[in-house]
Amino acid sequence: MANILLTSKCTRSCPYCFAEREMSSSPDQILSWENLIYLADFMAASGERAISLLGGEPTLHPQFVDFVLYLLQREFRVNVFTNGIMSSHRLLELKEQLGAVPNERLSFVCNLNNPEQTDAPLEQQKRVEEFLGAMGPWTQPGFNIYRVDFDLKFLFDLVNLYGMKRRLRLGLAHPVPGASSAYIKPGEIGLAIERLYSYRALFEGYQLDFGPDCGFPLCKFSDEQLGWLYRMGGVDMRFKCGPVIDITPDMSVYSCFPLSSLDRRSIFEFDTLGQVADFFAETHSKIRAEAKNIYPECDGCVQMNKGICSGGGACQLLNIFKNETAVRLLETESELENANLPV
Amino acid sequence: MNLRTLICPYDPELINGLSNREIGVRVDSASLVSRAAEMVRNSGNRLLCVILDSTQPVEAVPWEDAWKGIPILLTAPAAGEFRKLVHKLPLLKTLNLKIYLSATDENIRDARILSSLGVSCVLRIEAGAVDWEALTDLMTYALCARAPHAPIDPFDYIARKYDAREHLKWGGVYLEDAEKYFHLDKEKNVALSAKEALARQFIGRLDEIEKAEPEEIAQRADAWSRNFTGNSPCATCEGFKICMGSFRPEDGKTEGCKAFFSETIETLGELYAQKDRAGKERVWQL
Repeated sequence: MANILLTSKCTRSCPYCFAEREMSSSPDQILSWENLIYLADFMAASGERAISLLGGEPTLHPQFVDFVLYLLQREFRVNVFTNGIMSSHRLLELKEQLGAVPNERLSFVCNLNNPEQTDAPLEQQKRVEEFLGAMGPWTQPGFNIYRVDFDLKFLFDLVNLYGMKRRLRLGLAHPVPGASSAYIKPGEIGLAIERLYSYRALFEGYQLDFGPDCGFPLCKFSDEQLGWLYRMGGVDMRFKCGPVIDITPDMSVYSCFPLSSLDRRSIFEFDTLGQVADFFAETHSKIRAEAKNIYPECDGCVQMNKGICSGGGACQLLNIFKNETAVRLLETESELENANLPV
Repeated sequence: MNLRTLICPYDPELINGLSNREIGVRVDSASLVSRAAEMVRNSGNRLLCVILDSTQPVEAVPWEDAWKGIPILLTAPAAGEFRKLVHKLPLLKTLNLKIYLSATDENIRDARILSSLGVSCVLRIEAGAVDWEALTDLMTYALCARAPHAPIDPFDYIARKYDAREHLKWGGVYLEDAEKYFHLDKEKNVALSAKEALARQFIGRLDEIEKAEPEEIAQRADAWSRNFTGNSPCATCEGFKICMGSFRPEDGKTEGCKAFFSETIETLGELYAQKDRAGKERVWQL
């Protein structure tokens, strides 16, 4: 599956936003009808039956509703990643035009921030709740862990109150190599998992399961925690990091926001999504060959060797590597000088 | 004299007075579509199509299930709001339908949308205010898009009929080919296009013309040759084989049309080469 970015604008400023650098360096863009049709053809030719819409905030696109209707007419399943913050006019459009679409065909992932931990105006919170009030049954909650003392309690109440889908999209906030957004450092991942595990009674009580997104290393889960994930049933446990394909309004393609400046290409250079995935899998391999793994114990890890765990996200590796580069350069220079090698 | 297809107004007396002809019947109201088709079929003539001239956009036409089995040519100013149109699509896709739109920017965009959703369109290209670049883009989509889509004429027609060794007349896409179509009024006066019929620019009466063809018909058919005798810049244009000088703008600025028709020929050349290499027919239509 690929993510199609409808716009480069967003209505929120999350402290962990790993799209912020990409969005701020892009000119204001929206996807055109011609490019949407091209991408729909591209996906269909690639055998894809589902499309995810992203941004910035995709609902900001002036033709957002028409685009969704179009993709549904093309018989794609459509998933929209949104912050839920939109004008009353746009929300009314959603209700009127999309309210009758079965939620197997159309779904939203609403990225929710704890209002007490993430500074946001009351107006924003109100709009999110209006969105959930209208589209709750189509919507899966989403949450990004960017601090180890995260508080999830608010989320369970929202899921119940608005009849949301009972599956949480849970992500680790990823570092953008060279940028300063908040993220969970490799040494903190274990603490974040323990914090998550502390909510197990609520997960079970509210019958909410979750699908961890990329970047969770397997070894940071204890056997008990893994058992809990398994018992929740149907949990898509991913400990791997693979290229997530993002396509921008100007038809550039890259592998996920944190790596958006690496090996960036035009979608027109490829014939199928499979080719795109292969290309960026090669990019990931290059990162891993150069930057190794986020923990020393990844070397020789059985689960890594079996391909069950990737040893952290590629963005985390690149972030370490980029931070190391300047130091290594100096070290290497002085090493060579001191070696007194014959010239 | 070859018997032309007759494009007639919806007039029972006129149509019942004809026999064994192929007839396209024009109506200006959706409520007449079924009746017009039935009338032609019961008159001893063959129905080419019902031409519904609508002043409303496509999404506002009161489409009917009963129109299945009737070849329909809808002329409309625009497709209309997509969110209204989308609800009509399941029916539109089952109809034997071509939608005629003038080549405005919006219609060029909407023709692509409709085609990608399985509805056949015809873009009316007229010399003058055409975005040739956008049209070229649409041509590329119509001929080269990898996903199945409904035909967009005139591109599809040109692609099917083009022969690099010959000039191609494709006015028939618009029912404007002096050798194939006559446009009648109720009195059987003949014009060579709908526009001329509306302006009452007739060349004679049907029965007289079918006894002895007037000069105008041959002149219209051979109009392209005047580009050579008249020293027109079109005569040396790479795109002439398809354009035939018909789309030269009045202001004489031919860069746009030249680029469009030349690129069309180039694209066709590449496609034919691909087809030869592949050794099999490429399916264009849904």
